[in-house]
Amino acid sequence: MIRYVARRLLLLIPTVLGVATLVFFFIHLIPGDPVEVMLGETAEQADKEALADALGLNDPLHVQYGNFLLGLLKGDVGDSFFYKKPATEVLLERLGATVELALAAMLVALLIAIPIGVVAAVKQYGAFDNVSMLAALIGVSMPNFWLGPLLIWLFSLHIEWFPPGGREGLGSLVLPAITLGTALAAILSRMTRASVLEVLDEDFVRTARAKGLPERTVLFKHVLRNAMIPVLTLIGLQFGVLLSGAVITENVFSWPGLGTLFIEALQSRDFPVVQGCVLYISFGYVMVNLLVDLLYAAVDPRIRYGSS
Amino acid sequence: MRSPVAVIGLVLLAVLAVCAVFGPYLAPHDPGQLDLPNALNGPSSGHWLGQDELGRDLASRLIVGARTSAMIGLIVVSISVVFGTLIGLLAGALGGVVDQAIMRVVDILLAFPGILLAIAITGILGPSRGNIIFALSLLGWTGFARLVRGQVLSFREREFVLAARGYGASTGRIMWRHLLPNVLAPVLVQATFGMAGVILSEASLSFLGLGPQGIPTWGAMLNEGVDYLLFAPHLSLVPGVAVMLTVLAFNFLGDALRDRLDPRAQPWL
Repeated sequence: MIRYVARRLLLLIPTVLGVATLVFFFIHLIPGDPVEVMLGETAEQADKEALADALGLNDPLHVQYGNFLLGLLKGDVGDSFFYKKPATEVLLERLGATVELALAAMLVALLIAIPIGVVAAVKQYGAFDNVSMLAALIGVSMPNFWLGPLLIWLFSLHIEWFPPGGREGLGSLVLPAITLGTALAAILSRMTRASVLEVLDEDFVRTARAKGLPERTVLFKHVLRNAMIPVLTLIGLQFGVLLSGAVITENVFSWPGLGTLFIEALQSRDFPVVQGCVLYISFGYVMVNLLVDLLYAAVDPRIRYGSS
Repeated sequence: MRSPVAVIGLVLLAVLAVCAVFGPYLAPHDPGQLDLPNALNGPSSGHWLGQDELGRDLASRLIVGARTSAMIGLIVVSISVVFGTLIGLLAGALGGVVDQAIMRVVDILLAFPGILLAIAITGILGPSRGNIIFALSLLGWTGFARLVRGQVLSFREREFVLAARGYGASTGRIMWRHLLPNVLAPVLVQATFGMAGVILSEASLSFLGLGPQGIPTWGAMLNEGVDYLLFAPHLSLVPGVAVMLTVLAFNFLGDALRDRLDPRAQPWL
């Protein structure tokens, strides 16, 4: 297991370096001068030169790249043009709200998906199976920038149960969490159904039934334990998708997380913050994938032996 | 194809295709024509889906907007399929260092959350059709490359490939004549789901104000409608239903195709 973990950690280095390199060159090759953005088009040429010098923008590209990587090692992606403080600091202030929303959405998704997926599999081809899987496909197809306004219209404007936006108290978390969690619930319920169906077909389930175990014991002790492994993997992988999906949901509900910060930074052309958002969310995505792989290897020994 | 969901999917897509091709001729009104005195009016005999905040006919804007969604979806998926299949074929068939290098690049690109990068690119380069196509194609091909490579690896040591190699066929010929036809079925399934994903992404970008400017798009219509939720919910409802039905149609079709092509699948209808 230690060798497997070491190997996976080593493989992480080129991936993280690749992501950082791509983001650096992308931000530096795009049109638009950050100095002009900070000082405005009418600024004096001497002031522009002085600021470009201070930001290191007059250095050769490879020097800038080296400084960028060194900064990144210290968690520094530059200073925000708009907030006039380190972009990492600005990002960290907003990170909590996004993680809170993503966790709540994950909870909503799990509460809906697991029971539906299990019942749909146990009652395969029954009315519940057909209706719930149809609902799941509709859930996957429903854009969250449409579901959000619909929920606001119904639960905020008409029956006034929850606030239409902002982040004040638990009530304000409900509608964004449902909006962000619906598509995930749909994906997870389909995966749970498929996984339970596959395990139901296994020899050990037949043996458990042949031993005369009650159906409830077979389902909860034998089937679910095994069927949940691939579902857990999907949950891990989808957490990264949730983080990026939060960009839209946060903007619909004016949720003060990374997503709204990202769009604000794009509008004000605050490149260090844009760069930081893409970098940190990508790193988060890579780290979650790694964690899922490691957990999966811990649970299922065939994986670590198979790849070593 | 006997699956009822596939038939529903095909019918919905046929409607989308007709709107996309003949949209400007089918639209009952000029989609840009203002009628301020009748702004925010609900459905009526003259405007059967109602009018927006500037009095423009919602049905006409919806029909014309179909072309933008369909065109961007088709172009992005075509670029992704062609590029991804070619790269996947090369990686799988050549193996060794080429395979390792290609798959490392694919892994790095897959580490980016797609929609986030697309928002960043269109936000920085500016909102236009070309930039959206560039942004969505940039990562779109990676999934196809990984799929095709996996398929090629599973076929590489099969008898028909070994036989072709045995009678002296070149690597190029084996790739083109023997491997490519065998990987097309799963690529077709993924392309169908890909269309759903791209249309949803394009609508998301348009919703954020990063879509093509000066022409009606479903995402932008939805965004404009959000401000009038209380008085005129149909402004958001109509384009939202259009996006959902289109994505649903592609998902229906993709599901049915996959069930048909994968004997192990456990279809639900």
